[in-house]
Amino acid sequence: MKAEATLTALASAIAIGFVVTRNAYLMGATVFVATPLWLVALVFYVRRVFKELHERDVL
Amino acid sequence: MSVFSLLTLLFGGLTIVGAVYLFVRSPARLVSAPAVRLGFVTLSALTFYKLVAFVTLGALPVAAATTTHLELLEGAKEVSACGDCHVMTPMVTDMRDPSSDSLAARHFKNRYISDQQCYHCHAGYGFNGAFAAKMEGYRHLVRYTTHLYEEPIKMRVTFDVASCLSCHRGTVKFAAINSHAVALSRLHDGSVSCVNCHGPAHPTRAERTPGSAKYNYLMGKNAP
Repeated sequence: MKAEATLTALASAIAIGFVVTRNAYLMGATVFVATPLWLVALVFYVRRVFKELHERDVL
Repeated sequence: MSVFSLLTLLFGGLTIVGAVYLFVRSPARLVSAPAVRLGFVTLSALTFYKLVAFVTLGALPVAAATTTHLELLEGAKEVSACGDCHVMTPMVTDMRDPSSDSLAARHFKNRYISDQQCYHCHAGYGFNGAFAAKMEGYRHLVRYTTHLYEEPIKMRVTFDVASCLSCHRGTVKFAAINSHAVALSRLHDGSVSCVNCHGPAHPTRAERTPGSAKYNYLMGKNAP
């Protein structure tokens, strides 16, 4: 879970940086770095949840 | 600060707090940890950890991503957002200059368009126009952040005079000029543009070229 947490925190920090500074590079980083990081973290998290449910024979 | 910005700060901040919790806690050690009371509910430490994981990695990032992109799309309509990229600074400086006679400056100083002046002229009308403008904005973002541009920049496509005509056509002032009736069909087929008669919309490419006499002034560095 640490990897997902790190990716999500990094993505959120970039987004916060953008809304606070309005910097064009951070705007680009929000779209092209933070958004994929959020998605990757979400995919890994969902995969982990499904794996756990599968191991418990719920799925 | 807009509502979307504030929500992004809230969701993003909570995500970071949750991520720190997930980072420092280990699920293996939570089995014997004391239960956590949340108001009327008492949860085992492991269940609480899973709840935090769901909120931090599932719900909050989706909310934060949504509000961030809404802020990006709405904020991009503002003149200041266009001016954030330094290649656009000459256009914004000139537009705000009361002594300038460029088309953009005349619209600005006479308040023909009260706000979001760049967006009003450069986005087509209706959903398609707004959507195309947003997509174009993302393309600009890629080119700007990766430095895939050369100064002075130039428009990739011919400016659509439908933006001009949507306000001016049908007005008494427009109809009073005989040549407008003649030019209308040529405006529609793109063989002439409004700026052919009404002057440049923005500073010329020569003026926006680094090293030109007006460049420093247009970049907001000093007076011409």
